[in-house]
Amino acid sequence: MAKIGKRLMSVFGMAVTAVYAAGYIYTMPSAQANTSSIPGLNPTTPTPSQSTPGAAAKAYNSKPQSSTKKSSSSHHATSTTASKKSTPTHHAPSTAASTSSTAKKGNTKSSTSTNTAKKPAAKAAQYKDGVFTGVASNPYGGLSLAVTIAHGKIAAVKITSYTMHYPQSVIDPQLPQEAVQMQTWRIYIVSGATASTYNFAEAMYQALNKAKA
Amino acid sequence: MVSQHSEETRLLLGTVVSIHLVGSTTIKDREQALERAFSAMRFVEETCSRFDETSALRELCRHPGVWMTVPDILFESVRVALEMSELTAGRFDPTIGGTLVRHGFTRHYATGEQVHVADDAMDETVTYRDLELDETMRAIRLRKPLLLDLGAVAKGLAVDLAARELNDFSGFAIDAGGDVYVHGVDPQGDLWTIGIQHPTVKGEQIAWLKTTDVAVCTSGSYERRSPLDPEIHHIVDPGRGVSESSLLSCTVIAPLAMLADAVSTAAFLLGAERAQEFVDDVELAGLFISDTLEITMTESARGYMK
Repeated sequence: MAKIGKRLMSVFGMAVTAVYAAGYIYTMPSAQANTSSIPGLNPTTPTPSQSTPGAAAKAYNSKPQSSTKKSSSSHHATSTTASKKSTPTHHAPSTAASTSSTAKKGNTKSSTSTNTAKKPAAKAAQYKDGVFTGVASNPYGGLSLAVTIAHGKIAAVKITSYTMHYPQSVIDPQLPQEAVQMQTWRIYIVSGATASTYNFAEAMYQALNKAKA
Repeated sequence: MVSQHSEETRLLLGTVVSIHLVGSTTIKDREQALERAFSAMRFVEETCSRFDETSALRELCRHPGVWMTVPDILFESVRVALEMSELTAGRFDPTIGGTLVRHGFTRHYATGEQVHVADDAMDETVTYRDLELDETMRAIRLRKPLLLDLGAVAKGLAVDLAARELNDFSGFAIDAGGDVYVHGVDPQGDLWTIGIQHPTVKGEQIAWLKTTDVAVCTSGSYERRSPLDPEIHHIVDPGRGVSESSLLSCTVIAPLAMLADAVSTAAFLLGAERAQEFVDDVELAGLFISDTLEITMTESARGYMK
């Protein structure tokens, strides 16, 4: 019965990581216009205000704004227009201010749109130099990665093995690049590849914990 | 060296939540961390409460038959609840809300306000199979009108999120009424000591654990009784609409509070005969107190005892 324990642990672990990595955003559930979407192929176009009356979203900002504020908002801006092949809309971070403004428009796609409150990245320059590895798996497969720290900062992230159901191109090179750019393991959910994204976040978190000075 | 420590207690998640935080940091650092931890918990509550009309859970339940995109917290809570339902063949069931309402578990703990739900939410035939999830869209559809109750997972999730906010400290203990999570060292630099509530003598402990870096959750029949029927407490078997009573309480030790809480609730519902086997099957440690106050435990639990 050993399998049950492992499966349960990974399902629960993934859930906690998912929520933590996404940050806390309070969006009301909203009706969907289109329910058939092909994972990883069909970037979900934000539905125009179709939310139920009273659908409101409020941002929850658990951490004081840090120096990453700027880069998160700029990312926020780019990700709304990003629709690269096989990279549906990012679950992008944004500052509290921009979040509430997007959210108030009644944007209906809480999972794919950009109205996500993001906790700003951790302080930079807090890691030991070196190469640190992280591994994560869930019922949809696993991945491992190596994080290179140089001068106390995340200099490079390389996915060293990948056994997820989705093609690696769904998250690579986007997520490693973002991790370097944002200096954090808290990445944005790639819709249609959530399981890969969570694994990436979990593995990054692990590697950075090892790198803690 | 004795580390410095801060403690704070708040009313949250339908219970009293207190956090002890240990670390040789400034008071301000500890206070900010506590604030983050409590905020994370409040956030889960605001999303997943069955008592709060403005929660995402209630909004979802107002729209049966429609695919609704929901916040991650709600989606993940429902996902893990369904996992437990499958595993226990429906003994654990997050669609139990309507049944709980019928038994009078209808008041918001903080405001005392009565919860109003549409009458068709009282359908007694709903089960977890009436929930559909769309992984890609992060959406949920209720096939029938029903009222979700995520009490057995959302509180655990809240504790796990709070724990992550505090991970950098040398030690902490989160106690959320039955859900405990301990990490690192206690204020004396030792392992944490966790008491297990005596099921019939209020304020007394029936057993003690000495451990760290785990979650410990106890599901018991002693805490909340139905205002309508003294035989009914808050952990209700969906199949029979009654409360399991061959166990007085069941404690599970796991790496995550959400897992410990869900498994202890499920084991409690399975009853004295099957609880231990179930906890063994999922490779966790458990301690069980029968209606005759007899204590049994899984082999794996012995190492945690004080």
